[in-house]
Amino acid sequence: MRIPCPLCGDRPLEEFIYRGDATLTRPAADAPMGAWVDYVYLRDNPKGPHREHWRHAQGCGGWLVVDRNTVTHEITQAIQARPGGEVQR
Amino acid sequence: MTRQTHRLNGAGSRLDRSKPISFTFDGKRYSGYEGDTLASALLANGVRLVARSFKYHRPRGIFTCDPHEPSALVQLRSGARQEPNIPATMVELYDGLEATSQNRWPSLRYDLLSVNQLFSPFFAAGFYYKTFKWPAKFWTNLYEPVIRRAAGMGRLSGGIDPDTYEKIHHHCDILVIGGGGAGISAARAAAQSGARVTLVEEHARLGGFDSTGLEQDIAELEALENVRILPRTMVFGWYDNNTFGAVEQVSDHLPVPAAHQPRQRMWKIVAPQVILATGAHERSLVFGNNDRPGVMLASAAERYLRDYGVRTGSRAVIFTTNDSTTGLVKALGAAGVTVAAVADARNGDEIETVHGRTTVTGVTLRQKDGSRRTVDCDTVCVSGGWNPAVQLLAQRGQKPHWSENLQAFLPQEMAGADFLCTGSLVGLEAHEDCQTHGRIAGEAAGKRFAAPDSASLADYHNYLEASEQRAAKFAYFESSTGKSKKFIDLQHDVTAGDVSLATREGYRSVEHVKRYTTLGMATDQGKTSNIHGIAAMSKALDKPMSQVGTTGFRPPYRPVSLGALAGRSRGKHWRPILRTPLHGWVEDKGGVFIESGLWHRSQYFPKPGETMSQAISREVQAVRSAVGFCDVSTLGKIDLQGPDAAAFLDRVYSNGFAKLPVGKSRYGLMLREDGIVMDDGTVSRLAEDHYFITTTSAESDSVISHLEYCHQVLWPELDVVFADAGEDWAGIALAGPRARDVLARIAPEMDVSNAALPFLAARECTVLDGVPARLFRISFSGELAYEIYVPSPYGRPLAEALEREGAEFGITPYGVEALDVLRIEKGHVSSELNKFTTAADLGLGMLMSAKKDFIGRALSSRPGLTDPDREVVVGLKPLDPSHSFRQGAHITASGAPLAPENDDGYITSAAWSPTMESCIAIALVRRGRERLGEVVEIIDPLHGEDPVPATIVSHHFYDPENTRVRS
Ligand SMILES: [Zn+2]
Repeated sequence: MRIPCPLCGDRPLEEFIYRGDATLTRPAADAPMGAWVDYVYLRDNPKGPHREHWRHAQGCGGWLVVDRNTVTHEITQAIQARPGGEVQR
Repeated sequence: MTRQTHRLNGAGSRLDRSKPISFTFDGKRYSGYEGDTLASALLANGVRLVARSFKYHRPRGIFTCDPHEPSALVQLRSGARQEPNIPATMVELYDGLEATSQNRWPSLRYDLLSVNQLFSPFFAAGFYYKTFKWPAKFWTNLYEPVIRRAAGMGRLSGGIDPDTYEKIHHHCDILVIGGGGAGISAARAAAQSGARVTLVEEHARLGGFDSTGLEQDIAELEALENVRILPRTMVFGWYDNNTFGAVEQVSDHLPVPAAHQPRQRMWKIVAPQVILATGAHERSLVFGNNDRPGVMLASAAERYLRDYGVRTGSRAVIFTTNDSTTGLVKALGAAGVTVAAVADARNGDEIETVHGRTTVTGVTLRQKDGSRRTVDCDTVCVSGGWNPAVQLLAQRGQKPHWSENLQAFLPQEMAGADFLCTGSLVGLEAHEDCQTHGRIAGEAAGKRFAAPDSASLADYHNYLEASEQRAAKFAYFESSTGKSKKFIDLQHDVTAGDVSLATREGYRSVEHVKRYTTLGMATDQGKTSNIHGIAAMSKALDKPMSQVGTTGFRPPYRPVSLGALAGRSRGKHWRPILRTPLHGWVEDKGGVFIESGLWHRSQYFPKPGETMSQAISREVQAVRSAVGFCDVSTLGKIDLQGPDAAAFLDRVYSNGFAKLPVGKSRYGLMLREDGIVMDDGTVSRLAEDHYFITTTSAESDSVISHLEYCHQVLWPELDVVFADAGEDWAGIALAGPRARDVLARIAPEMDVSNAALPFLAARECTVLDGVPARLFRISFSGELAYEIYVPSPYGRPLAEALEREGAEFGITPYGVEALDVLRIEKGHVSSELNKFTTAADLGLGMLMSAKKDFIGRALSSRPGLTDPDREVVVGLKPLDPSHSFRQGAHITASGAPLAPENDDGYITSAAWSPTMESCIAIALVRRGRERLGEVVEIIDPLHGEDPVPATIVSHHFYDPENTRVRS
């Protein structure tokens, strides 16, 4: 598999580390315990499109938001996670 | 030396008759020519019996002319280079080649284990599942030794492979897989676009089954500058985003690799466009004793005649379902071989059974009217049609689709956004068809390269549709009668009867029948045979072939050696080594190294005649009584700057940093979001907006990744930047009551008094002669101590200066063993941060700030983590100081029976303490803090040791009042 890093270009899978669902938002400090449990533990396991966090650990070090199809591994978009850094390839 | 009795005069397009070659098989000397394969040379010498089969030890010969040969597997070379299970058909002959037959005892001709045939009912389908249920001791006493001997293949030498293997990455615009007629045309046409084209071919030469007439095309292709040809290279896997794995057999055709050349080279190829021209495999037919030496694929017999000038016999019978054998009939005639009969299944003729034991002596033919006749012959040439080599496509998730017209499984999709298919893979037969369509495919790929999305595939698809209409094939797989064993899978000895039995026993899915019978699970992966298993299931279950379907295909397409997968990562190169800036100095001092992650760290510094434990005790005592120094360069180091740096630290550490004054250090605890401790370290404030962080050696990478996540994803609004400074700084811990005296010598310009440089002071300063340094009064040992960081190149000079200037104070270098003893004596947690413990478990609950939000705060309060029954950090001391215990030992209440429910925890760190003159330990003990003073038992059944009575104590064994660090 290859991931198009917006900063480094098309790079092989071995350079990246995977984190998981990129659509979660860290709850507010006073959020109920249930919200925290959801955030830390509960994940969907979709068959198809999935928005997820990857880090280009062996490259620029950037955290990326990658849209990947979990069936075909097709990647339709990879952008920097940092707002203002949405350089796209 | 025997004569090449079966070699034809003059024939053999691949041979160089001016270069005779000598080789041995089972110790007997034979001759061949350059260009031969081991198989062709054996056949030229009249050798037919070359192997015994896997299960029944039946005599087997050479069945194909291809790498997926199911029968003629041999052991190649000797000594450490010995390689088992190599198809003789893919071994290029070299002078002095040694090959031996395998899976026979005592000899190939008199294999005593062939009695297995008599017990064949026991080896029938599901043998493994039916047999291996009985008492467990049968496994080690009976099944393993007996079956290993009876049903095995070749053997490894057990020696270390003396050759090297390497890996290479390759990028091209268009990859063509397969160098037959179609692939050659495709590559030439694709290259016209100016694209960088790479053509990969499994064999030593291009040309496929029949290179006659292709010489000019091959020469022109080879002359193109933008075309790279990789012969002897097999693409074994097609991975996501058009990444391919391939193995190049660089030196397998040589006695030993040339100087500085690897035996094999692993290619990782990335290509936006690929043209698959992987060809087709001829399939066998299923009839009685169809495995006898002398039974051979028709195309193989033809290629041995044409390419190698070898006639495999003098009287041949041909058994076919198609027209591809017409050329063979002519070629046999021209070579003076009598064609005794042609059994064409289309006319209702078939071979019922083959006669002869170690070689074919004749066949019984059954004609359409049911009449039988026996024909004497020494060769049977079989063609059951052709299986397109769809394996790579199937690896990508395509289910091959059954073409009723072609009687074959074809690619489900003939083209995709990043691939095209051509040649016999897509069912084309005639040379002209393959070349024409290859050219069309190559042009299409070239257009895609020049202007993506613009290329029309109309010609490409029209050509395929037209040719499928032309070629209707006859459906025939298995002879209708006969009592002899009819083999489907020659390599795994799976018969038509086995498949039929499996279906009678209720197996319906092709995947289940495969596993139950082991059909197609041998090294050839059933390339000549799977189709017959599917046909047998189709017949038994009365389901069409399309509904039975194929099994899944996974990489590798063909076996790949472990050496090629490992590449250079073996022996001392199996993983990288990290060395600290002090590595050379430690070596010069005679220090012993220990591997810790990728680091090689100094373990201890023995003096002549000292044991390891004596050296460690001496080093500990030196720190406690005088002064010592230790390389701590492996600690993670992060330089953090920005106006929001304090706010950022407050969110990632459980304790507070906003109020840390400039010039001060503080211990910091970092949690995971689930409330478990991630790492600890120190944070020092060098300026209002500038911090220097240390992490543990083991976690530095994951901490940096975590901090980057927090910064880039969670709180991008915080104005902070940080850099991994791990390799920038060498770090040395200077510890002991005389540490200040030594520091004064190496930093003469600095006021090092306790008032000017108190406990937890942090300074940027200079040491030696103007070397910039960062100095922190931090102690891991419990003594007056400093951590001194200098730019990496100054690490060694600093160590030398400390040794020199500290000599009069008795300075002693110490390694990580003494470091660990010192911290256990002091009660600092380290290995207790084991990804199961919370701050409270570690006795660090006071570092959980209640005044702010931080990573891990919320879930730290979940019930599981606040359970008073949790195991918490305490110390242990044996009642009898001469007793000892080890890390990993468990704790039970005194007198409690040895049972899992009585497990009260375990020892996380243990050491002999020269200071306490006792073994001491830090342990995680259930409700430990309530049990101080209790006598418990330390049990270590894994090491077979007797229980040791010990007292639970505070883990702060040494100087619990913390007076020495502040002195
Ligand atoms: Zn990158």
